[in-house]
Amino acid sequence: MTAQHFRRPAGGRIDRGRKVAFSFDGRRFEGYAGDTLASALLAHGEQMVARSFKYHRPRGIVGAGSEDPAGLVQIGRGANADPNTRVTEQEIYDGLEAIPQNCFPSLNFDINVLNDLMSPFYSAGFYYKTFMGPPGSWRLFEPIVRHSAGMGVCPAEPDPDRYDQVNRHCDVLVIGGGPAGLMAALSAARAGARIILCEETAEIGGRLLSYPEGAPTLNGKPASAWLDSVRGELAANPDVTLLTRTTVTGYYAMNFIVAWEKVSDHLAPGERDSHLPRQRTWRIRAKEVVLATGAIERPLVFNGNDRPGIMLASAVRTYLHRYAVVPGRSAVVFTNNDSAWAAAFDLAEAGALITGIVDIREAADPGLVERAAALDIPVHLNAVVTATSGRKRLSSVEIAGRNVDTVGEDIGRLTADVMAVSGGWTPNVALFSQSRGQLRYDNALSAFRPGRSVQKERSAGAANGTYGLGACLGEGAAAGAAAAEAAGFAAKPAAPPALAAMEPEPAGIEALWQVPSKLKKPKAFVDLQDDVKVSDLKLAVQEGYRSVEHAKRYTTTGMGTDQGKIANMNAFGILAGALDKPIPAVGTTTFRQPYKPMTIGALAGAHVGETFHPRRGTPMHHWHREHGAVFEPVGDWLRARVYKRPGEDFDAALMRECKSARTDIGVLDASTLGKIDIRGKDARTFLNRVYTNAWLKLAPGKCRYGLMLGEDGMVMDDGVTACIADDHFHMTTTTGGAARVLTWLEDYLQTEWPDLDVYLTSVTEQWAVASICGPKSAELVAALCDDLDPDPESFEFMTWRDAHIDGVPVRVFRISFTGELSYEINISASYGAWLWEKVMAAGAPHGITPYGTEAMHVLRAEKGFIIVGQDTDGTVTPFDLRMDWIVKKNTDFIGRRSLTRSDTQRPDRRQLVGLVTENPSVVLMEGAQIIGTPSEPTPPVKMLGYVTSSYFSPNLNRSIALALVESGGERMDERLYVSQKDGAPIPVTVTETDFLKTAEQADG
Amino acid sequence: MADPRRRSPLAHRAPLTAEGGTLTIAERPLLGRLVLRVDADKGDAAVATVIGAGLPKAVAETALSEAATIFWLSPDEWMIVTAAEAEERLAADLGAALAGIHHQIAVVSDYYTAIEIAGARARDLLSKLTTLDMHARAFKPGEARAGIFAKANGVLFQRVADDAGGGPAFDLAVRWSMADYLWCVVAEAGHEWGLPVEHPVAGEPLFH
Amino acid sequence: MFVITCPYCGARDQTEFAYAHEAHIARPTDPESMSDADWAEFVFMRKNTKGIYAERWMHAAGCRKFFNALRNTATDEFLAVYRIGEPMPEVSAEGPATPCGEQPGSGNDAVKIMADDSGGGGR
Repeated sequence: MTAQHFRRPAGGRIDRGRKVAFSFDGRRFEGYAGDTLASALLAHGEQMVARSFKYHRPRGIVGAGSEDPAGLVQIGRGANADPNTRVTEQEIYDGLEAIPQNCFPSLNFDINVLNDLMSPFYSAGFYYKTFMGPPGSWRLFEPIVRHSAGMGVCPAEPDPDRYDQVNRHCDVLVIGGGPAGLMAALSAARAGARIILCEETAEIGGRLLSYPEGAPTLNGKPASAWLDSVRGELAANPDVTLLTRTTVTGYYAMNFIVAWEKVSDHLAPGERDSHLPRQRTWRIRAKEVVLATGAIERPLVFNGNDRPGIMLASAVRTYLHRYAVVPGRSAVVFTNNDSAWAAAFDLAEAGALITGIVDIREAADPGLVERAAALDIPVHLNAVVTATSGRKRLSSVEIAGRNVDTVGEDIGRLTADVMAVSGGWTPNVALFSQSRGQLRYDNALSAFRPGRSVQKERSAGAANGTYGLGACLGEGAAAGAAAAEAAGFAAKPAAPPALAAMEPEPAGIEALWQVPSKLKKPKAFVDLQDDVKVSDLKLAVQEGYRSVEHAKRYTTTGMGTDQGKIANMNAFGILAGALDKPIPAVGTTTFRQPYKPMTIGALAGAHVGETFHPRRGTPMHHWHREHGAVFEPVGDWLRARVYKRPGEDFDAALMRECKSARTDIGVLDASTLGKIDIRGKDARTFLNRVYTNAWLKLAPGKCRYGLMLGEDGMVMDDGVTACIADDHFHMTTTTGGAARVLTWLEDYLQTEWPDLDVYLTSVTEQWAVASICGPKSAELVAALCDDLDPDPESFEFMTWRDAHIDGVPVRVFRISFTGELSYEINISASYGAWLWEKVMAAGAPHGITPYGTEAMHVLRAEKGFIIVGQDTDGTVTPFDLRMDWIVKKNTDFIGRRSLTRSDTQRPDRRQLVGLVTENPSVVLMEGAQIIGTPSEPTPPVKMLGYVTSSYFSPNLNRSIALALVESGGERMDERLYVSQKDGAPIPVTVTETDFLKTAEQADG
Repeated sequence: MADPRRRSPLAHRAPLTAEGGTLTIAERPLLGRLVLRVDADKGDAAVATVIGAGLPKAVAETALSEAATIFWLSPDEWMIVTAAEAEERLAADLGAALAGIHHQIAVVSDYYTAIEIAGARARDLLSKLTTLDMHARAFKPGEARAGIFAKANGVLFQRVADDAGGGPAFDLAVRWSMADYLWCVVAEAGHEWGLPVEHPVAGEPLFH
Repeated sequence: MFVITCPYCGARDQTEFAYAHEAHIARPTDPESMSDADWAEFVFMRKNTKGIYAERWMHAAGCRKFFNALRNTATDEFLAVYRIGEPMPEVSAEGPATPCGEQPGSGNDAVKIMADDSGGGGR
């Protein structure tokens, strides 16, 4: 382990009492608590941390936060591996293992660096041009491209971590914990508003953490003391939620904001509170928002600008003061504005040798020039950097004079292992733009800034293009007060702290989007993550791309995981130059959510695994589980599909269940059927309008099957409805259609027929239902009920009776979905499990067999009963089902008019028929297409229809199928063919749908 | 005392308490529940004669009497909560009192169960499950609102005020079939404060 | 994710609501007298305006009541909510038709930024 040679002897926000050991690229390092991976590596003089995406060029640490373009590593291994983590954001902890990615076999020797030598061939649009054809070639190239261009590797194992989501409402959301954001939060909080303050890094303070200690002072104290007092005030207010390590990643409609909190990522796995999630997503609904997201420094674009050691001037200051690291021993500062000069002075203060300040301008602020002279720093005005050297880190810089847009005379070579670069500042308008606010180009700043707001937000401080510290504090206070006022609170701006010992804040800038070069094709990178050079942007314009959005996609500039935070403004400037248009006329690309990459886990929250989605169980669910049930989802319900006995396979269990329901007794848990209580004097009229058949004369005690259509005439749902009293009905719907049908019925009652006196209430889960079926079922019902004669002669089919079982009230319906003698016993759901046990015990002497939904499907298909949604697909009318008998003739009902439309009257519509195969053991595939010829004709093939249901029927001892077939009703006994994926079509014969009846008739 | 032959949706779930006691969750099983639908103005007086409290008229309002608690569900719909097995009698009495007025009374005691969420962290826990504003300024004692909790619909009622010893208590009424799912989701949301992880009964693999 | 003000329950999250398509399309009282074309117009055709659109919503997770809303589909701004049976309110058509004032259908490519008002423009 090497020593921290680049660590300053004192200062910084690190905890020198807590040493932290970690590894990077297989080597061991030591840092302090409070370090990021980047600051700890810089403390050891490590600059190169990654390889670039395309050319595998060495990439160093450029920024000091989420703006860093290319410093991506993988943290940890195996299931816990976290790829594409920014070294400038990841805080170190004991045992942290950082693994370089995008290099093979190692960071220092990467075989794919060959790509760099080939770079002339990998210009803009390389992929588009190369892989346009021949068809299918992408499949060949894709694995190779993916291997060499990978952005880290996704772990194959399930994520072992827990994630969380929280919904929050607030009056004022302040985004950004820098000077402006803190003043906004203080102002709004003092007014009594509910505040959430989100700070992306580990602690509040923003730029105050990147200033030298004591310069400036706030209220006569160092910045850290002022921050302590602010933190204390906010923490003591119960209506303030202060979130650190929390990035606002999305600004959506109506001030809906998503914030992503890294709760545990900064802690060693052993130190993490197992009760806390790893990360948490805050779903915030804010009345008002203050955007205090600061500004991001952008680099200059010059030949050789991607070498490790070339950093943003602001990042240099952050490392110097926040982390007490001197990023280099000899430094050059290269700038087009005044702000970067402070980096030179601070570096000199920290003991680095400044070999030159290179400023492209003819003049800089005189105060700065004087101070440089006082510090013996050579200053080169009207000069540019023309080249850089150093294999894996910067060693020297060549500079020359500038002649407007060309390079002047050589000045010489400066020794430097770090270069602080500044191309000016760009207000961080990503969230403002996500909110659909309109930007305005500001010539004085050479950047876009917020123009017109659309949502209830306001920008403050550097995010608004206001760069001076004093102005930021004041603007933040005003914005916080205004936001609280707008949210309904009497507020006034908090008094900003008095600033003293301020360094001057000169702000002169001369925009220069690309530094002139002596070379025809300089290696001047715009986007350091995606390896986009000036020449790529120019090529895109040459090839005809005019829109900034198209040029972005063609060159991939700004399309990396950093979303071009430092690259985009330069790219727009260069494109504007190439297009010879003003920047505002070129515009910007679209800022999209998320602001930076989020984990899928944080988006999913706790909605994963077993609790991903509700699975609804009936009151008998526990019994089913204990008796070998295999479940299937039906809507959100889990229904027992089949009950496997020990040693039995699925098919054997199914055959047994199907047989038993027709020879002895079967029992089905039918609790999931939708049930609607209908009450009111107009209930009959209502039913008569929503069902296709007649309901006006159904007497109390009787039941009727009904079909519901949409207004388009297509079958929507079906079920049996019982008349309880003249003004009281009990409707059943399909399991999956229950909610839809209730809403649909309410729609008609509330909006079309408010004159009808009808109330509807769902009672689906009030009732548990055991459906008993089979020749011996009457005996069982007789044994169960205290007071019911189940004799089918007197208790007729399609009627219902009130009864009791051991004194518990039940409703028994004589209805059947199998064609067998059946009784459906409805009981209050809390008695459901008790009833089921009771049925099983009483049925045991009769050989009762519980059967699942699969047997139910087979049994109903044997009788040709439809299942809506399986034998219908939303294009099927009652006539298509050949159920003409259920359509009443003389009165209107929903969908009736559509049944006489020319399309629904077509003679060649598909109709439901039975199909039997020649070979009784061949079971057709559901969904298989039906054709008219014994062999597959040449495409296009005329499809006559498709198989909707298909089973092996143990009761008929053969396969059966239902199908929708063109003019099916007129094709009885016709030979058709069912197309196969592999092999010859299967010959079938068209039959009626009631296979049991057909078989009985054949038996004579 | 409810009929022992009855089984509530969460009968298999024992109450859970967080270490430190900032949270408890428990089922409030087998309460009597009715849905009443009637024109508010026409039905108000009749309901008051039976229950001793009139119909609440606006969202979040509830009415409380010795006989029952009435939750507003919609302008013409209320949920009436009463003691276990008192609902049939109450339904009959209401039916008699409302004779001649168009109305509907449906017994829904077994349609729902309630999960009680109590303790200092109850509001924080609930805010993980619902987009309703759970701040004490926005959801007050005695209020009830329907909403979505995780992926289940429910009706949330603050039964015990925040300043009562032990913090606020909420009853979350949820459908029978969703109760076990929601129980597990509530426990997961409370894990941060020490509730154990619970696994849903219907969590098995789906296909053979 | 919108906030929608239910006329009965107040402001709630969009997740509680179900969209129920265009408002003020009454079911014909005598469908049998209608031509195929007129019936198809009622069943299938909806205006789907970009701009102010009268549409129905249902507070599915709340009071389960249908209600009508006037929404600017270009900005997603709800200009009014009103109960079934109430007449459509008059709303001022002032203000931008789209978030940044672009012509409907033009996309917002050209208007993410305001017209240059600083003179000259950067190069």
